[in-house]
Amino acid sequence: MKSPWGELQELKGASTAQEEENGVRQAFSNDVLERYSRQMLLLRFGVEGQKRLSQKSVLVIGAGGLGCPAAMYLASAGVGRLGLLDRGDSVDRSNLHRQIGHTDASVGADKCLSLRDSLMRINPGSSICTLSTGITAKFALQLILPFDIVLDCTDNVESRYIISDACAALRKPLVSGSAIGFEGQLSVYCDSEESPCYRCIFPSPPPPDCVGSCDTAGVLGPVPGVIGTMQAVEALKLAAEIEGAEVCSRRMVLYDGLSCETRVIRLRSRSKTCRACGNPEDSSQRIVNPAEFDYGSFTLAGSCATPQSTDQGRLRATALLDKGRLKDALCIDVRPKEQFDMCSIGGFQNIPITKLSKELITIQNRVGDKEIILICRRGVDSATAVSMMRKAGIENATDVIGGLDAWRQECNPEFPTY
Amino acid sequence: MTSVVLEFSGGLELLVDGKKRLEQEVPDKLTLGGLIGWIRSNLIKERHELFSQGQRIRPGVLVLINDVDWELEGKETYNLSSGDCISFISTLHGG
Ligand SMILES: [Zn+2]
Repeated sequence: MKSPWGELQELKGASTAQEEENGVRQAFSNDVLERYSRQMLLLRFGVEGQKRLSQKSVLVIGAGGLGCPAAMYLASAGVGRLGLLDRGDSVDRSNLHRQIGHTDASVGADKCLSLRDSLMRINPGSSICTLSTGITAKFALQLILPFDIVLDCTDNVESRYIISDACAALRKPLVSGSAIGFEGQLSVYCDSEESPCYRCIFPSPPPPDCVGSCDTAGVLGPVPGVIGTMQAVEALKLAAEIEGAEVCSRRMVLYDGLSCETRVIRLRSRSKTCRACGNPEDSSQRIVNPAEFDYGSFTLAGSCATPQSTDQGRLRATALLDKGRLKDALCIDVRPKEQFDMCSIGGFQNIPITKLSKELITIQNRVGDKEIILICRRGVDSATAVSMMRKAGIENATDVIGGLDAWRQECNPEFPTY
Repeated sequence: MTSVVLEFSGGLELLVDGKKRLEQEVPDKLTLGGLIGWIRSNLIKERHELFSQGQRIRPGVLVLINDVDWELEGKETYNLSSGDCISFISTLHGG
Protein backbone atom coordinates (compact mmCIF):
# COMPACT_ATOMS: atom_id res chain seq x y z
CA MET A 1 0.00 0.00 0.00
CA LYS A 2 1.17 3.54 -0.73
CA SER A 3 2.39 5.40 2.33
CA PRO A 4 -0.07 8.00 3.63
CA TRP A 5 2.98 10.23 3.99
CA GLY A 6 3.58 10.15 0.23
CA GLU A 7 7.15 10.17 -1.02
CA LEU A 8 9.48 10.95 1.87
CA GLN A 9 12.94 12.13 0.94
CA GLU A 10 15.82 10.09 2.20
CA LEU A 11 17.40 11.38 5.39
CA LYS A 12 20.47 13.33 4.49
CA GLY A 13 21.88 13.91 7.94
CA ALA A 14 23.42 17.16 9.09
CA SER A 15 25.47 18.77 6.34
CA THR A 16 29.09 17.86 6.81
CA ALA A 17 31.58 20.46 5.69
CA GLN A 18 34.26 19.46 3.23
CA GLU A 19 37.32 18.32 5.01
CA GLU A 20 40.46 20.35 4.98
CA GLU A 21 39.07 23.41 3.28
CA ASN A 22 41.47 26.32 3.72
CA GLY A 23 43.41 24.15 6.11
CA VAL A 24 40.43 23.78 8.49
CA ARG A 25 38.97 20.41 9.47
CA GLN A 26 35.45 20.55 10.83
CA ALA A 27 32.73 17.95 11.42
CA PHE A 28 29.80 20.05 10.27
CA SER A 29 29.10 23.32 8.56
CA ASN A 30 29.55 26.44 10.67
CA ASP A 31 25.82 26.87 11.04
CA VAL A 32 25.32 23.32 12.34
CA LEU A 33 28.28 23.59 14.71
CA GLU A 34 26.97 26.83 16.12
CA ARG A 35 23.34 25.77 16.42
CA TYR A 36 23.94 22.46 18.18
CA SER A 37 27.20 23.22 19.96
CA ARG A 38 25.78 23.13 23.47
CA GLN A 39 24.54 19.58 23.16
CA MET A 40 27.61 18.45 21.20
CA LEU A 41 29.74 19.73 24.07
CA LEU A 42 28.15 17.06 26.23
CA LEU A 43 30.53 14.27 27.10
CA ARG A 44 28.26 11.46 25.94
CA PHE A 45 26.74 13.29 23.00
CA GLY A 46 29.46 14.82 20.87
CA VAL A 47 29.71 14.97 17.10
CA GLU A 48 28.74 11.32 16.78
CA GLY A 49 25.53 11.87 18.75
CA GLN A 50 24.61 14.78 16.52
CA LYS A 51 25.25 12.69 13.41
CA ARG A 52 23.05 9.88 14.67
CA LEU A 53 20.32 12.33 15.67
CA SER A 54 20.36 13.93 12.24
CA GLN A 55 19.81 10.55 10.62
CA LYS A 56 16.80 9.62 12.72
CA SER A 57 13.13 10.29 12.20
CA VAL A 58 10.68 10.86 15.03
CA LEU A 59 6.88 10.87 14.84
CA VAL A 60 4.95 13.06 17.29
CA ILE A 61 1.29 12.03 17.46
CA GLY A 62 -0.86 14.81 18.91
CA ALA A 63 -0.02 18.50 18.52
CA GLY A 64 -1.44 19.54 21.90
CA GLY A 65 -0.16 20.08 25.43
CA LEU A 66 2.36 17.22 25.26
CA GLY A 67 3.14 17.34 21.55
CA CYS A 68 3.96 21.06 21.44
CA PRO A 69 6.89 21.08 23.88
CA ALA A 70 8.08 17.64 22.73
CA ALA A 71 8.17 18.68 19.06
CA MET A 72 9.73 22.06 19.86
CA TYR A 73 12.67 20.45 21.66
CA LEU A 74 13.09 17.76 19.04
CA ALA A 75 13.09 20.23 16.15
CA SER A 76 15.51 22.53 17.91
CA ALA A 77 17.85 19.63 18.68
CA GLY A 78 18.20 18.79 14.98
CA VAL A 79 16.30 15.51 14.59
CA GLY A 80 16.67 14.38 10.98
CA ARG A 81 12.97 14.28 10.25
CA LEU A 82 10.00 15.12 12.41
CA GLY A 83 6.51 13.88 11.59
CA LEU A 84 3.49 15.62 13.10
CA LEU A 85 0.18 13.83 13.20
CA ASP A 86 -2.96 15.36 14.65
CA ARG A 87 -6.59 14.60 13.95
CA GLY A 88 -7.21 17.88 12.20
CA ASP A 89 -8.35 19.92 15.18
CA SER A 90 -7.99 23.63 14.83
CA VAL A 91 -6.33 25.77 17.49
CA ASP A 92 -8.78 26.95 20.12
CA ARG A 93 -8.12 29.88 22.44
CA SER A 94 -8.63 27.55 25.43
CA ASN A 95 -5.65 25.47 24.20
CA LEU A 96 -3.11 28.25 24.45
CA HIS A 97 -2.34 28.09 28.17
CA ARG A 98 -0.67 24.73 27.65
CA GLN A 99 -0.19 24.15 23.91
CA ILE A 100 2.73 26.52 23.68
CA GLY A 101 3.57 25.81 20.04
CA HIS A 102 0.44 27.74 19.01
CA THR A 103 -0.23 31.46 19.25
CA ASP A 104 -3.24 33.68 19.51
CA ALA A 105 -2.76 34.56 15.85
CA SER A 106 -3.17 30.90 14.89
CA VAL A 107 -6.54 30.41 16.65
CA GLY A 108 -8.72 28.63 14.10
CA ALA A 109 -5.76 27.28 12.13
CA ASP A 110 -4.96 23.59 11.68
CA LYS A 111 -2.89 22.42 14.66
CA CYS A 112 -0.29 20.52 12.63
CA LEU A 113 0.36 23.50 10.37
CA SER A 114 0.39 25.97 13.25
CA LEU A 115 2.92 23.87 15.15
CA ARG A 116 5.02 23.35 12.04
CA ASP A 117 5.23 27.11 11.55
CA SER A 118 6.48 27.51 15.13
CA LEU A 119 9.09 24.80 14.64
CA MET A 120 10.32 26.35 11.40
CA ARG A 121 10.71 29.69 13.17
CA ILE A 122 12.88 28.03 15.80
CA ASN A 123 14.92 25.95 13.39
CA PRO A 124 14.47 26.86 9.71
CA GLY A 125 16.57 23.90 8.61
CA SER A 126 14.12 21.36 10.07
CA SER A 127 12.62 18.68 7.90
CA ILE A 128 8.99 18.43 9.01
CA CYS A 129 6.13 16.48 7.48
CA THR A 130 2.57 16.80 8.71
CA LEU A 131 -0.70 14.93 8.31
CA SER A 132 -3.95 16.24 9.74
CA THR A 133 -5.67 12.86 9.77
CA GLY A 134 -4.85 11.59 13.23
CA ILE A 135 -3.87 8.04 13.96
CA THR A 136 -6.38 5.51 12.68
CA ALA A 137 -6.37 1.77 13.17
CA LYS A 138 -6.67 1.26 9.43
CA PHE A 139 -3.46 3.11 8.54
CA ALA A 140 -1.58 2.80 11.84
CA LEU A 141 1.19 0.59 10.50
CA GLN A 142 1.73 2.69 7.38
CA LEU A 143 1.69 5.91 9.37
CA ILE A 144 4.32 4.69 11.82
CA LEU A 145 6.49 2.61 9.48
CA PRO A 146 8.72 5.42 8.10
CA PHE A 147 9.78 6.56 11.59
CA ASP A 148 12.41 5.32 14.02
CA ILE A 149 10.80 6.58 17.23
CA VAL A 150 7.18 7.38 18.11
CA LEU A 151 5.83 9.79 20.73
CA ASP A 152 2.30 9.25 22.00
CA CYS A 153 1.07 12.74 22.85
CA THR A 154 -2.61 11.96 22.32
CA ASP A 155 -5.46 12.48 24.72
CA ASN A 156 -7.64 9.40 24.42
CA VAL A 157 -7.67 5.71 25.27
CA GLU A 158 -8.43 4.43 21.79
CA SER A 159 -5.45 6.17 20.18
CA ARG A 160 -3.16 4.93 22.94
CA TYR A 161 -4.02 1.30 22.20
CA ILE A 162 -3.80 1.79 18.41
CA ILE A 163 -0.39 3.45 18.66
CA SER A 164 0.99 0.89 21.08
CA ASP A 165 -0.30 -2.08 19.08
CA ALA A 166 1.27 -0.67 15.91
CA CYS A 167 4.59 0.00 17.69
CA ALA A 168 4.49 -3.51 19.16
CA ALA A 169 3.90 -5.01 15.72
CA LEU A 170 6.74 -3.00 14.17
CA ARG A 171 8.96 -3.07 17.30
CA LYS A 172 9.35 0.72 17.28
CA PRO A 173 10.24 2.43 20.54
CA LEU A 174 7.24 4.33 21.89
CA VAL A 175 7.60 7.24 24.30
CA SER A 176 4.24 7.63 25.96
CA GLY A 177 3.12 10.62 28.01
CA SER A 178 -0.13 11.74 29.56
CA ALA A 179 -1.30 14.52 31.82
CA ILE A 180 -4.42 15.86 33.43
CA GLY A 181 -5.16 18.12 36.35
CA PHE A 182 -1.91 18.48 38.28
CA GLU A 183 -0.59 15.03 37.40
CA GLY A 184 1.44 13.49 34.62
CA GLN A 185 2.80 10.06 33.69
CA LEU A 186 5.61 8.95 31.40
CA SER A 187 6.88 5.58 30.20
CA VAL A 188 8.75 4.11 27.24
CA TYR A 189 7.43 0.94 25.62
CA CYS A 190 8.71 -1.58 23.05
CA ASP A 191 12.29 -0.26 23.02
CA SER A 192 13.98 -3.60 23.70
CA GLU A 193 13.30 -7.32 23.78
CA GLU A 194 12.21 -7.29 27.43
CA SER A 195 10.37 -4.01 27.24
CA PRO A 196 6.58 -4.27 27.60
CA CYS A 197 4.04 -2.55 25.40
CA TYR A 198 1.16 -0.44 26.72
CA ARG A 199 -1.16 -3.43 26.43
CA CYS A 200 1.18 -5.59 28.56
CA ILE A 201 0.62 -3.12 31.40
CA PHE A 202 -3.03 -2.39 30.66
CA PRO A 203 -4.57 -5.48 29.04
CA SER A 204 -8.08 -4.05 29.49
CA PRO A 205 -9.15 -0.45 28.96
CA PRO A 206 -10.74 1.58 31.74
CA PRO A 207 -14.51 2.02 31.60
CA PRO A 208 -15.16 5.12 29.47
CA ASP A 209 -16.78 7.04 32.33
CA CYS A 210 -13.58 6.77 34.38
CA VAL A 211 -11.58 8.64 31.78
CA GLY A 212 -11.14 12.35 32.32
CA SER A 213 -10.04 14.79 29.65
CA CYS A 214 -8.29 18.14 29.93
CA ASP A 215 -11.40 19.74 28.41
CA THR A 216 -13.64 18.59 31.22
CA ALA A 217 -11.38 17.98 34.22
CA GLY A 218 -8.99 20.88 33.59
CA VAL A 219 -5.20 20.90 33.55
CA LEU A 220 -2.48 23.21 34.79
CA GLY A 221 -0.62 24.28 31.63
CA PRO A 222 2.97 23.46 32.59
CA VAL A 223 2.06 19.95 33.79
CA PRO A 224 1.76 18.52 30.25
CA GLY A 225 4.75 20.78 29.55
CA VAL A 226 6.81 18.85 32.10
CA ILE A 227 5.77 15.49 30.67
CA GLY A 228 6.11 16.53 26.99
CA THR A 229 9.57 17.86 27.77
CA MET A 230 10.50 14.56 29.43
CA GLN A 231 9.24 12.75 26.33
CA ALA A 232 11.68 14.83 24.28
CA VAL A 233 14.52 13.85 26.63
CA GLU A 234 13.71 10.15 26.22
CA ALA A 235 13.40 10.50 22.44
CA LEU A 236 16.75 12.28 22.20
CA LYS A 237 18.42 9.56 24.29
CA LEU A 238 17.04 6.95 21.91
CA ALA A 239 17.75 8.88 18.70
CA ALA A 240 21.28 9.98 19.53
CA GLU A 241 21.98 6.61 21.17
CA ILE A 242 23.59 8.40 24.07
CA GLU A 243 26.09 6.15 25.77
CA GLY A 244 25.12 5.05 29.26
CA ALA A 245 21.62 6.53 29.00
CA GLU A 246 18.90 4.52 30.68
CA VAL A 247 15.60 4.86 28.91
CA CYS A 248 12.46 4.93 31.05
CA SER A 249 11.20 1.50 30.05
CA ARG A 250 9.85 -1.07 32.49
CA ARG A 251 9.45 1.99 34.66
CA MET A 252 6.91 4.76 34.89
CA VAL A 253 7.45 8.30 36.08
CA LEU A 254 4.61 9.75 38.10
CA TYR A 255 4.66 13.51 38.51
CA ASP A 256 2.32 15.27 40.91
CA GLY A 257 2.60 19.03 40.47
CA LEU A 258 0.33 19.75 43.41
CA SER A 259 2.66 18.20 45.97
CA CYS A 260 5.76 18.56 43.77
CA GLU A 261 6.49 14.88 44.13
CA THR A 262 8.03 12.71 41.46
CA ARG A 263 8.14 8.94 41.75
CA VAL A 264 9.56 6.30 39.49
CA ILE A 265 7.86 2.94 39.78
CA ARG A 266 9.07 -0.41 38.54
CA LEU A 267 6.81 -2.10 35.98
CA ARG A 268 6.49 -5.70 34.85
CA SER A 269 8.43 -6.99 31.83
CA ARG A 270 6.94 -7.85 28.49
CA SER A 271 4.08 -10.30 28.90
CA LYS A 272 4.45 -13.62 27.10
CA THR A 273 0.71 -13.79 26.57
CA CYS A 274 0.17 -10.17 25.51
CA ARG A 275 -2.22 -9.88 22.58
CA ALA A 276 -0.02 -7.30 20.88
CA CYS A 277 3.57 -8.26 21.64
CA GLY A 278 3.38 -11.81 22.96
CA ASN A 279 1.80 -15.12 22.04
CA PRO A 280 -1.65 -15.45 23.59
CA GLU A 281 -2.77 -19.02 24.29
CA ASP A 282 -5.56 -18.58 21.75
CA SER A 283 -3.54 -17.46 18.76
CA SER A 284 -6.60 -15.92 17.08
CA GLN A 285 -6.45 -13.29 19.86
CA ARG A 286 -3.14 -12.03 18.55
CA ILE A 287 -3.32 -8.52 17.12
CA VAL A 288 -1.05 -8.58 14.09
CA ASN A 289 -2.32 -5.42 12.45
CA PRO A 290 -4.40 -2.78 14.24
CA ALA A 291 -6.47 -2.46 11.05
CA GLU A 292 -8.09 -5.79 11.91
CA PHE A 293 -8.99 -4.92 15.50
CA ASP A 294 -12.20 -3.22 16.61
CA TYR A 295 -10.94 -0.49 18.97
CA GLY A 296 -14.34 1.14 19.25
CA SER A 297 -16.02 -1.81 20.97
CA PHE A 298 -12.84 -2.66 22.87
CA THR A 299 -12.63 0.73 24.58
CA LEU A 300 -16.38 0.95 25.14
CA ALA A 301 -16.52 -2.41 26.90
CA GLY A 302 -17.12 -2.28 30.62
CA SER A 303 -18.93 1.03 30.63
CA CYS A 304 -20.57 1.55 33.98
CA ALA A 305 -22.45 4.65 32.86
CA THR A 306 -26.20 4.69 33.17
CA PRO A 307 -27.42 3.85 29.70
CA GLN A 308 -29.27 6.76 28.20
CA SER A 309 -32.46 5.25 26.95
CA THR A 310 -34.28 8.08 25.24
CA ASP A 311 -34.66 11.79 25.45
CA GLN A 312 -38.25 11.29 26.49
CA GLY A 313 -39.28 13.58 29.33
CA ARG A 314 -36.11 15.67 28.95
CA LEU A 315 -36.20 19.37 28.15
CA ARG A 316 -34.95 21.19 25.12
CA ALA A 317 -32.73 24.12 26.05
CA THR A 318 -35.43 26.46 24.72
CA ALA A 319 -37.66 25.43 27.63
CA LEU A 320 -35.39 27.55 29.84
CA LEU A 321 -36.58 30.67 28.03
CA ASP A 322 -39.81 30.30 30.01
CA LYS A 323 -38.84 32.50 32.98
CA GLY A 324 -41.98 31.65 34.91
CA ARG A 325 -41.26 27.95 34.74
CA LEU A 326 -37.71 28.51 35.99
CA LYS A 327 -38.97 30.67 38.85
CA ASP A 328 -41.35 27.99 40.06
CA ALA A 329 -38.85 25.16 39.73
CA LEU A 330 -35.87 24.08 41.79
CA CYS A 331 -33.03 24.63 39.32
CA ILE A 332 -29.81 22.73 39.95
CA ASP A 333 -26.58 22.93 38.01
CA VAL A 334 -24.64 19.70 38.66
CA ARG A 335 -21.28 20.77 37.23
CA PRO A 336 -18.18 20.98 39.45
CA LYS A 337 -18.02 24.19 41.51
CA GLU A 338 -15.03 25.49 39.50
CA GLN A 339 -17.10 25.45 36.32
CA PHE A 340 -20.21 26.87 37.98
CA ASP A 341 -18.14 29.76 39.36
CA MET A 342 -16.91 30.60 35.85
CA CYS A 343 -20.39 31.02 34.40
CA SER A 344 -23.94 29.81 35.00
CA ILE A 345 -27.53 30.61 34.18
CA GLY A 346 -29.17 32.97 36.69
CA GLY A 347 -31.54 31.19 39.08
CA PHE A 348 -29.58 27.94 39.09
CA GLN A 349 -27.89 26.79 42.27
CA ASN A 350 -24.88 24.52 42.27
CA ILE A 351 -24.88 20.98 43.64
CA PRO A 352 -22.01 19.12 41.95
CA ILE A 353 -22.94 15.61 40.89
CA THR A 354 -20.27 14.20 43.20
CA LYS A 355 -22.09 15.75 46.19
CA LEU A 356 -25.59 14.99 44.98
CA SER A 357 -26.18 11.72 46.80
CA LYS A 358 -25.54 13.43 50.15
CA GLU A 359 -28.06 16.15 49.32
CA LEU A 360 -30.88 13.92 48.11
CA ILE A 361 -32.75 13.87 51.40
CA THR A 362 -32.53 17.64 51.80
CA ILE A 363 -33.75 18.09 48.26
CA GLN A 364 -36.62 15.69 48.82
CA ASN A 365 -37.75 17.57 51.93
CA ARG A 366 -37.44 20.96 50.28
CA VAL A 367 -38.89 20.35 46.86
CA GLY A 368 -42.50 19.45 47.65
CA ASP A 369 -44.34 19.12 44.36
CA LYS A 370 -42.09 21.61 42.58
CA GLU A 371 -40.42 20.63 39.34
CA ILE A 372 -36.65 20.01 39.50
CA ILE A 373 -34.65 21.12 36.46
CA LEU A 374 -31.09 19.81 36.22
CA ILE A 375 -28.41 21.05 33.90
CA CYS A 376 -24.73 20.34 33.25
CA ARG A 377 -22.19 21.18 30.57
CA ARG A 378 -23.29 18.73 27.87
CA GLY A 379 -26.26 16.85 29.23
CA VAL A 380 -24.54 13.65 30.36
CA ASP A 381 -24.09 14.20 34.10
CA SER A 382 -27.52 15.80 34.39
CA ALA A 383 -29.11 12.64 32.96
CA THR A 384 -27.20 10.58 35.51
CA ALA A 385 -28.43 12.96 38.21
CA VAL A 386 -32.04 12.48 37.09
CA SER A 387 -31.71 8.71 37.40
CA MET A 388 -30.06 9.08 40.84
CA MET A 389 -33.06 11.13 41.93
CA ARG A 390 -35.56 8.68 40.50
CA LYS A 391 -33.85 5.86 42.42
CA ALA A 392 -34.19 7.95 45.58
CA GLY A 393 -37.92 8.36 44.91
CA ILE A 394 -37.80 11.91 43.55
CA GLU A 395 -40.04 11.68 40.51
CA ASN A 396 -40.48 15.22 39.25
CA ALA A 397 -36.89 15.79 38.08
CA THR A 398 -35.91 16.43 34.51
CA ASP A 399 -32.85 17.74 32.71
CA VAL A 400 -31.77 19.69 29.65
CA ILE A 401 -30.71 17.81 26.51
CA GLY A 402 -27.24 18.98 25.48
CA GLY A 403 -26.83 21.03 28.66
CA LEU A 404 -25.27 24.48 28.58
CA ASP A 405 -23.74 23.81 25.15
CA ALA A 406 -27.25 23.51 23.75
CA TRP A 407 -28.33 26.61 25.71
CA ARG A 408 -25.54 28.58 24.04
CA GLN A 409 -26.32 27.25 20.58
CA GLU A 410 -30.07 27.47 20.68
CA CYS A 411 -30.87 30.35 23.03
CA ASN A 412 -28.00 32.52 24.14
CA PRO A 413 -24.86 32.80 21.98
CA GLU A 414 -23.44 35.22 24.58
CA PHE A 415 -23.05 32.40 27.09
CA PRO A 416 -19.27 31.88 27.49
CA THR A 417 -17.44 29.02 25.84
CA TYR A 418 -14.86 27.42 28.05
CA MET B 1 -4.98 -4.95 63.28
CA THR B 2 -2.24 -4.38 60.73
CA SER B 3 -1.12 -0.90 59.92
CA VAL B 4 -0.46 -0.05 56.30
CA VAL B 5 -0.08 3.05 54.16
CA LEU B 6 -2.57 3.49 51.35
CA GLU B 7 -1.99 5.88 48.47
CA PHE B 8 -4.48 7.01 45.86
CA SER B 9 -3.67 9.05 42.77
CA GLY B 10 -4.59 9.79 39.18
CA GLY B 11 -8.07 10.83 40.33
CA LEU B 12 -8.76 7.84 42.61
CA GLU B 13 -8.19 10.11 45.60
CA LEU B 14 -11.56 11.69 44.80
CA LEU B 15 -13.20 8.45 45.94
CA VAL B 16 -11.67 8.83 49.42
CA ASP B 17 -12.40 12.48 50.21
CA GLY B 18 -9.43 13.74 48.18
CA LYS B 19 -6.92 12.03 50.48
CA LYS B 20 -3.80 10.98 48.60
CA ARG B 21 -2.17 9.19 51.51
CA LEU B 22 -3.73 7.40 54.45
CA GLU B 23 -2.17 5.61 57.36
CA GLN B 24 -4.71 2.91 57.96
CA GLU B 25 -5.35 0.09 60.38
CA VAL B 26 -6.78 -2.88 58.50
CA PRO B 27 -7.81 -6.39 59.66
CA ASP B 28 -4.98 -8.89 60.15
CA LYS B 29 -4.05 -11.55 57.61
CA LEU B 30 -5.52 -9.81 54.58
CA THR B 31 -4.43 -10.63 51.08
CA LEU B 32 -4.19 -7.72 48.66
CA GLY B 33 -7.46 -8.90 47.09
CA GLY B 34 -8.99 -8.83 50.57
CA LEU B 35 -7.64 -5.33 51.11
CA ILE B 36 -9.27 -4.13 47.89
CA GLY B 37 -12.61 -5.51 49.06
CA TRP B 38 -12.08 -3.95 52.50
CA ILE B 39 -11.28 -0.53 51.02
CA ARG B 40 -14.33 -0.75 48.80
CA SER B 41 -16.61 -1.48 51.75
CA ASN B 42 -15.00 0.73 54.38
CA LEU B 43 -13.33 3.73 52.78
CA ILE B 44 -15.29 4.37 49.61
CA LYS B 45 -18.66 5.97 50.09
CA GLU B 46 -19.99 6.22 46.55
CA ARG B 47 -19.25 5.27 42.95
CA HIS B 48 -17.65 2.04 44.17
CA GLU B 49 -17.44 0.72 40.63
CA LEU B 50 -14.77 3.30 39.84
CA PHE B 51 -12.51 1.45 42.28
CA SER B 52 -13.28 -2.24 41.96
CA GLN B 53 -15.73 -5.00 41.26
CA GLY B 54 -15.58 -6.74 44.63
CA GLN B 55 -11.94 -7.76 45.09
CA ARG B 56 -11.05 -7.11 41.46
CA ILE B 57 -9.53 -3.72 40.81
CA ARG B 58 -11.05 -1.92 37.84
CA PRO B 59 -9.09 -1.92 34.58
CA GLY B 60 -6.81 1.08 34.14
CA VAL B 61 -5.61 1.12 37.76
CA LEU B 62 -2.00 0.24 38.49
CA VAL B 63 -1.46 -1.33 41.88
CA LEU B 64 1.93 -1.02 43.54
CA ILE B 65 3.28 -2.89 46.49
CA ASN B 66 6.03 -0.78 48.03
CA ASP B 67 6.59 1.04 44.72
CA VAL B 68 6.72 -2.14 42.65
CA ASP B 69 4.13 -3.28 40.09
CA TRP B 70 1.97 -5.90 41.84
CA GLU B 71 2.33 -8.25 38.86
CA LEU B 72 5.82 -8.91 40.16
CA GLU B 73 4.50 -9.75 43.64
CA GLY B 74 1.58 -12.10 43.08
CA LYS B 75 -1.22 -9.58 42.60
CA GLU B 76 -4.38 -10.29 44.67
CA THR B 77 -2.74 -13.22 46.48
CA TYR B 78 -0.01 -11.10 48.09
CA ASN B 79 -0.15 -11.29 51.89
CA LEU B 80 -0.12 -7.87 53.52
CA SER B 81 2.49 -7.14 56.16
CA SER B 82 2.56 -4.36 58.67
CA GLY B 83 4.22 -1.26 57.23
CA ASP B 84 3.43 -2.09 53.58
CA CYS B 85 2.66 0.78 51.30
CA ILE B 86 -0.02 -0.02 48.73
CA SER B 87 -0.58 2.49 45.95
CA PHE B 88 -3.56 2.69 43.61
CA ILE B 89 -2.81 4.78 40.56
CA SER B 90 -5.33 5.48 37.87
CA THR B 91 -3.74 5.90 34.46
CA LEU B 92 -4.10 9.27 32.86
CA HIS B 93 -5.10 9.79 29.27
CA GLY B 94 -5.17 13.53 28.77
CA GLY B 95 -2.65 15.35 26.69
ZN1 LIG C 1 2.56 -6.27 25.07
